[in-house]
Amino acid sequence: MERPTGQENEWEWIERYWTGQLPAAEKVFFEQVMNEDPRFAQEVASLQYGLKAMETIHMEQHIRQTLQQLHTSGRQQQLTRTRWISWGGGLAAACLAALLILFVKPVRLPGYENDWEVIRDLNSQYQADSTDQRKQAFDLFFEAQALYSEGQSGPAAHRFEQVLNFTRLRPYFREAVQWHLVVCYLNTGQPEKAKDIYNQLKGKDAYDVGLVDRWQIGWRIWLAT
Amino acid sequence: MRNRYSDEQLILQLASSDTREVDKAVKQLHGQYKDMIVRLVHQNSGTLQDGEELFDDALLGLWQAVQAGRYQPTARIKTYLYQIARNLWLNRIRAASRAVRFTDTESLDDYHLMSLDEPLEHNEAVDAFWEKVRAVGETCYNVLRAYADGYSMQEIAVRFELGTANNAKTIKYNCLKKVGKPLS
Repeated sequence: MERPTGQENEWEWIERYWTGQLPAAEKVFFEQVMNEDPRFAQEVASLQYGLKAMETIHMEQHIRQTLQQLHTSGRQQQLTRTRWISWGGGLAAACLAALLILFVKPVRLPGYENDWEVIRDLNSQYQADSTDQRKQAFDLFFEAQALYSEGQSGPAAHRFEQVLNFTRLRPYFREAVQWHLVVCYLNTGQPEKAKDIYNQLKGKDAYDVGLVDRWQIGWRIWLAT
Repeated sequence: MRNRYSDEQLILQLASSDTREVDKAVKQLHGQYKDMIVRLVHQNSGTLQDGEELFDDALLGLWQAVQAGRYQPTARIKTYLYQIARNLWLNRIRAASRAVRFTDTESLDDYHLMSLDEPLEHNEAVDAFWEKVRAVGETCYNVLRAYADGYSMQEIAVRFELGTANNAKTIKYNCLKKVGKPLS
């Protein structure tokens, strides 16, 4: 191990000594040189106060910077947490709304009035023909719908089943009867029957049931079976 | 945050001259006790920023006490930090002439075991050092202040027209030697 040469190198060596940067072996050597060289020892002593003070100042600044970074990152984490909580809250609210739609909102099959128009026009048409048995089907459907509207799903289901026994029903009319029958079966605790008809209705859209209502009916069937 | 270091280990880390060791202690103490100090300040009419500043000052107060050998491990670090922060905040409230009914937010059973000097708003040793530097001369003050602020010797040489970085370095060490001498 060699002692640094030149004034500036010597000062830097002393600085490393007073700021605790010398490895153990070099520190021993440094103190040995100090013991052997009074001039060097005096130089070391004369720099102790100033170098220690500067070290304290630097360390204090370093600690303040570290704390500032910790505060900043803490605030960012807090902000991220708050965002996640609000997003989570929004998501939970959306899920709750979806659940309410799926389980609480009553199923609304497309307008009875439109159905009524179809029935009335066709009814009059077939009355004029006065031949077709489909008039009986329309009357049964009208009666079934009236019962359905009053919440009498059992009797309504019975009439809808009868309507389906008629042949040559128009697709729109057949699907309307089937959808109503699915809901009646669900309301009367016959999910398997509801499922059979629901499966027959997949891919059919002559009678336009909304997507949410389709999901809602599908969920109820899935949960009940 | 899990407590990785005991109070004894934290004190050893704060006493170190190695910034990495000091950082370990600072990070753990920040994780453990910052919220306690922020709560104390918030409960007593301060803001989040006041709380963070007070935590910094309390932690630096602890660090200074450790460095100066004044820290007595008779009470927990938690108690020490809380009491420094409490006293500093009371001083600041009084200095601002604010009539605030002070409410403690922690019940510390080892408070009676500690002795705490009156908390200082500044590091007196550092203040005394700068006084001495100022007395030595303006060039010394400028060079050492810039060095303390993190400027390189090259930057200091350019900023104060000292020629080369080596010249600045020579001035720095000569100034430090002068500061170390007793004032005549």
